[in-house]
Amino acid sequence: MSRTDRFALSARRRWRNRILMGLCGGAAATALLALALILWRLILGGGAALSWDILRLTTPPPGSKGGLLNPILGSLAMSGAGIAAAAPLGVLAGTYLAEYGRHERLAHAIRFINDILLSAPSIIIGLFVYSLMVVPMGHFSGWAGALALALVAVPVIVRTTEDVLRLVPASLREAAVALGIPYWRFIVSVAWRSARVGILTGILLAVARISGETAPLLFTALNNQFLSSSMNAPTASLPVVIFQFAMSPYADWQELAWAGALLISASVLLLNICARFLARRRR
Amino acid sequence: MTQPASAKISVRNLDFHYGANQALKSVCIDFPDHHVTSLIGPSGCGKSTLLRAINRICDLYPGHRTSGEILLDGENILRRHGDLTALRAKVGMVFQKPTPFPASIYDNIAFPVGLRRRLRKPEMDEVVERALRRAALWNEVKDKLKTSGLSLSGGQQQRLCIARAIAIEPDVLLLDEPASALDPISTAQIDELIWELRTNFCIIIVTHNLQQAARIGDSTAFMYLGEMVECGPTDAIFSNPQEKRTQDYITGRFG
Ligand SMILES: Nc1ncnc2c1ncn2[C@@H]1O[C@H](COP(=O)(O)OP(=O)(O)O)[C@@H](O)[C@H]1O
Ligand SMILES: [Mg+2]
Repeated sequence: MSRTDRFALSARRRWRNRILMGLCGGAAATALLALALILWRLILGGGAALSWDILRLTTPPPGSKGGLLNPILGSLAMSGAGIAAAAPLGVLAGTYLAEYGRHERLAHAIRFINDILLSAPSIIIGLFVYSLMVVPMGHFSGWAGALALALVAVPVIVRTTEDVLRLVPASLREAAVALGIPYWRFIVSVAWRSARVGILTGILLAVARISGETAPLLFTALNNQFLSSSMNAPTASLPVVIFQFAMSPYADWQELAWAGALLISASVLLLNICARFLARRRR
Repeated sequence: MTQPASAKISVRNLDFHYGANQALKSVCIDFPDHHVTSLIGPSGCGKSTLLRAINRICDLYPGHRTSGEILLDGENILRRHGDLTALRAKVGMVFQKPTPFPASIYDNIAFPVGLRRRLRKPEMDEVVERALRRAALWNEVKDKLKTSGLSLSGGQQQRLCIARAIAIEPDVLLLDEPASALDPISTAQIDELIWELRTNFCIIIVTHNLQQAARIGDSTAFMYLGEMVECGPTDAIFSNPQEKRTQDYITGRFG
């Protein structure tokens, strides 16, 4: 190949490189722009309605002063209970898949089903819990909401736990076994230890995921205008209240919906940043 | 190798299959106690497979078959079922890549020891110090026992792994190319260390480095394509090999 040919080839490559880089950059910029617009709109709509009253008062009837205390507490309680159930279950199941079930057919089946659950529309999970808990008990409840949220969170945690445990080098496993360390001890003291940041990140991402879920709560916890001290009663949550208030014709309700939306987005953003920060610190 | 009575480990007609692929073919060899045996041979000839069969680390992966015997103090360990942790505590192993746990230098040694023996803090301190001294690492790390084992250099990490392996007081030490990822100075330190340790252990070391085999092995065994071609005193193997394949290998005609 002559010198000019080679030059022409490399010029062509440079052009291709530029085009692909332009496409990638454009796509990234579009995604970022959409996010920025959403945030901007949220701040515009909800910023004005943010005040201490949001945290002090419960949801009002149309036309009077009020806040979002009951849905905030309801969301915290249901997400908290949901994660408290889902985290141990998901971590143990993910550990089974990564450590014990590596060569087993049962594990392949579980992994497959988990992936289906991971992408199942969450409204189906809501309907499932509705028929499982709400119908037999005869009423909506916060516990049913927590269960539905847990079912959304479990597949996320299973997946991330398995993935990060698979990053633990095989050489570490062999070294532990060669020292006569029982396999369960290896998992607890070496594998979990070296993967703990990744596992925690997965749990945080699951929290972020369920704190914005509306569909699973519509059929389970429903809503509650008042502050309820029991998870046995219907329980308000931020996403459902936003849904209800935003659809209403009342301006003050709509404003509260904006404030709630801003609150959720800000906390999800914060959780994601925390997860990112943890993941970065791993290295 | 004529007195099987004094052999710590006796391998008899060992066949090892990975699925359809036979990695060891009717291997017979004795490993005496207080003695270093070097295993040499081209890549893929089954040296690692032989080591991994001796402490049954191969059981981590399904799909292999063995026949024949590996006698450790007269007991056929291939027939052992159920809990293998006692066997593995008796047969320590160090790998090619250093494998410190993501924990402090102290805990790297104290953790496996603590699983076998309940020790109070001062006793454990002593065990850790003795292991590090025997692995010739104590002077370099005595002031930073609480720092991560991963912060050490490659050669130090490998000596930490040797310290960890000898701290649980095994009878046998298997070393699979322990120095191949290390610089010449670290390699020399490891060689010296193995030389010291032979008084207490039955040591089997796989190496690609023929000088290393000649330096530290009391005996040398040459493997080729899954067969044990020849084994005997190191001097004899290197100066007067009986088999043409051994001769070709040690003179560098293939490998
Ligand atoms: N886990 C495994 N699965 C299938 N075949 C393997 C496995 N490990 C090693 N082998 C095969 O067994 C033979 C011997 O390998 P090995 O014992 O690692 O050789 P060496 O350590 O002498 O280089 C090679 O042909 C290799 O491809
Ligand atoms: Mg090998």
